[in-house]
Amino acid sequence: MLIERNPQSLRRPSTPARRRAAWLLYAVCALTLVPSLFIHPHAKFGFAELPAFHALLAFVTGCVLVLAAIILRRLIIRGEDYYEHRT
Amino acid sequence: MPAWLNNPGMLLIIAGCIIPLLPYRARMVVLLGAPAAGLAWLWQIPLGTTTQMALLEYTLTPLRVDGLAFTFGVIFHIAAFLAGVYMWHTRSRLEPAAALIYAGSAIGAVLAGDLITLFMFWEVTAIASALLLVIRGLRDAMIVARRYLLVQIGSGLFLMGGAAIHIHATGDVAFTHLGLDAPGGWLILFAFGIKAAFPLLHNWLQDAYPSASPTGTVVLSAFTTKMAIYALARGYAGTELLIPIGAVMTIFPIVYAMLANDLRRVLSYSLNVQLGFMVVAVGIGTELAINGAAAHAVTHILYKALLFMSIGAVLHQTGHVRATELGGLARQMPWTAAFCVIGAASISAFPLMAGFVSKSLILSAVAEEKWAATWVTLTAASAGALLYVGIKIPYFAFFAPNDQIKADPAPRNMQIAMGLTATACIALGLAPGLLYSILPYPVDYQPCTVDHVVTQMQLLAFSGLAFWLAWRAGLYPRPMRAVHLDTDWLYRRVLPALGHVGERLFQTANRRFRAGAGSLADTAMTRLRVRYGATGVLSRTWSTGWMALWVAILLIVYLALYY
Repeated sequence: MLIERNPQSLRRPSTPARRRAAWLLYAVCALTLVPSLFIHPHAKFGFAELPAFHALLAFVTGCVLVLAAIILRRLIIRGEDYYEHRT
Repeated sequence: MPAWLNNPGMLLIIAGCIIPLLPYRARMVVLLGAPAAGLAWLWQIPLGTTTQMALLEYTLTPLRVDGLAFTFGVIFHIAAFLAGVYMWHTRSRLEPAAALIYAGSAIGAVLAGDLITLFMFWEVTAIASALLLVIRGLRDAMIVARRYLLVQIGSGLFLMGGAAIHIHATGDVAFTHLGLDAPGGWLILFAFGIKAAFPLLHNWLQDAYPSASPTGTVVLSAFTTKMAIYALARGYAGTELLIPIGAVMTIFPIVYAMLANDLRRVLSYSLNVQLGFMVVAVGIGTELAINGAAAHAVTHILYKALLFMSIGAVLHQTGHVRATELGGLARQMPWTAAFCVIGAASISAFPLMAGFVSKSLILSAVAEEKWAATWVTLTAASAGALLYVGIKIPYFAFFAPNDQIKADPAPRNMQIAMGLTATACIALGLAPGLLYSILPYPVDYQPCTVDHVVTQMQLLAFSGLAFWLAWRAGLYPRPMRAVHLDTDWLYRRVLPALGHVGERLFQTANRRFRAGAGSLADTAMTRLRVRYGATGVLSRTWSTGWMALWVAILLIVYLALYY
C-alpha cells in the first residue's frame, strides 16, 4: 500500500469524552465561520477579503503539511541506531 | 569603573565566575540576584547612552543602549531570571555558572556598539553554551557538544573575518547598519545566519538543544538565536534577501517537527519556525516590522522557555522525553500540564495570548509592504503551529493514553518558574501595551480588533479540524523510534564517509609508494654491494706497490691539470 496508516488503536475516538470533543470542534469551526458573513475584513490583499479565506487556508495548509510529512518520512526515515558509534 | 566593566552583561559574567566558589544558598542568591540587579541597572540607563574606550588604535563602544538593544537586553535578563528559578533545585556548581556567563555574554553582545566587542561576546556565548552541554557528562552529549562548538566557533570565525575586512576597508569599527554591499557584509551575514539557524545552516540547533539537561535546554533556547536576530535587525534591516530565507524557515521545519519523536526536538524545530517569522520581519525592515521582530523575540523567548520548562519537568520526573514513551501525565502532573497548554496556546497565537500580539505585528508589517506570497506563507505557517506543536506537545506528553508511566509533580521551584512564565505569556496577551512599551519604536497598533480575532479563530479552528481528520484517518505521522535525516546527515555520514575513502586512498598510495621505493632501494643496495661489498671490486686487498703506483698516477694527472 502506498500510504501506511496508523493502527486502529491510534485513530478512532474511542471514548465518549473524545466524541464530545470532536463535536465541540466541529461546532467551533462552524461558529468561527458565522461572523465572516457579516464582517467585512479590512485586508491589504484582495484575495484575503474572501469570506472564510483564513479557514480555507488553514485547512489546506494542514492537509498539505500532513501529506508532505507522510511523503518525506518515507524518504528520510532510518533506524534508531543509524548514527550510533559515529561521531 | 573601567569602561569595559560598565555593562550589565559584565555583571552577570562576573557573577557567573564567582558562583562556583559559593555555598549553595549564596549560589542561589547570586543566581537570581544578578539578573534582577542587571535588569534594574539596564532599566535606569537612559536610551541613547554610549560609553567608549580605546584599544590599540580603535575606539570601542562596550555599551550602547538604544531602543533595539534595550528590548533584547530586558528580555535576556528576564529569561536569565526565570531560568535561574527553574534551576534552583540543582546542586551543580557549574550549571548556574555557565548559565549566568552565557546570559551575560548574550546581553553584552546586544549592548555592544562595535564589531570587535560584538565578536568577543559572540565567542563567549559559544563557549559558555557548549559548557552547558558538556556539564551533563553523558557520552552522547559530549559528542554533540563537540559538533555544536565547531559550528558556533565557525560562526565566530566568519564574523571575525567579515569584521576584519569591514574595519580594514572603512576604518570604522562601529556596528551599525551594514547591508550586503558593505565590505565583509556577506561574511558577517553568514556568521549571523549560522546562529539564526538559516535553512541548511540550522541543524546544530535540533542536534544540540535536545541533548542538554532539562534545565540546560531552557537556558539554551533563549539566547543564541535571539542574539542573532538582534544582530540581523541591527546590521541587515531591510535586506530583501532575508524575506525568502525567513519564509522558507517558517515552513520546512514544520514537517520535521511533525515527524520528530523527541519532544524537545519537536520544540527545537518549532523554534526554527518562529525564528523564520523574525527573519522575515527583519528583511521587511520598516519600523513596524522591526518592532514586530523584537516583540516576537520577547514573546517567543517566554513561551518557548515555558514549553521547554514543562517538557523538561516531565523529563526530570520520568526520565523520558520521547512521545512514544510518554502520555497520560495530566493527572499526575496537573500544573505542569496546565502550563504546557498555556505555552502551546501562546505559540499557536490564540487571541489574548502572547504569541498573538507579536505575530500580528509581523503579519501587518508584511501586509503593509504588499508581500502577498510571503504573507500567505506566514499565515499558513501560523496555522500550522497548531499541528506540530500546539496540539502535539501537550497531547503526547500529557493526554495520550499511557498507563505505564508514573510520576510525581514537578519540584516546587520548577512549578514557580513555569507559573511566572505562564503569567507573563497571559499578561502580555491581555495587556499588549506592556510589551509595546519596551519596543524599539513607538507603537500605534491594536491587535485585538474584531476581524483580526475572527480570522485568527478561523485559522486555529480549521487547522485543528485538519489535524483531527488526519488523525482519524490514521494519516497523521505517528511518533516512531527512528532517525529522520536532516542536514546533519551531511556532516555525520557523508563527510566521515568521504574521510574514510580519502584515508583508504592515502593508505593505498602510501603502500604502493613504499613498495616502489623499497624495491628501488633494494636494487640500489645490490649494485652498491657489487661494487663496495666484502667481495666487491673496490674492497679487494691491494698490494703496497699497486697503491704507490696509483698515487703516483694521481699526482701526475694533478700536475698536468694544474699547468
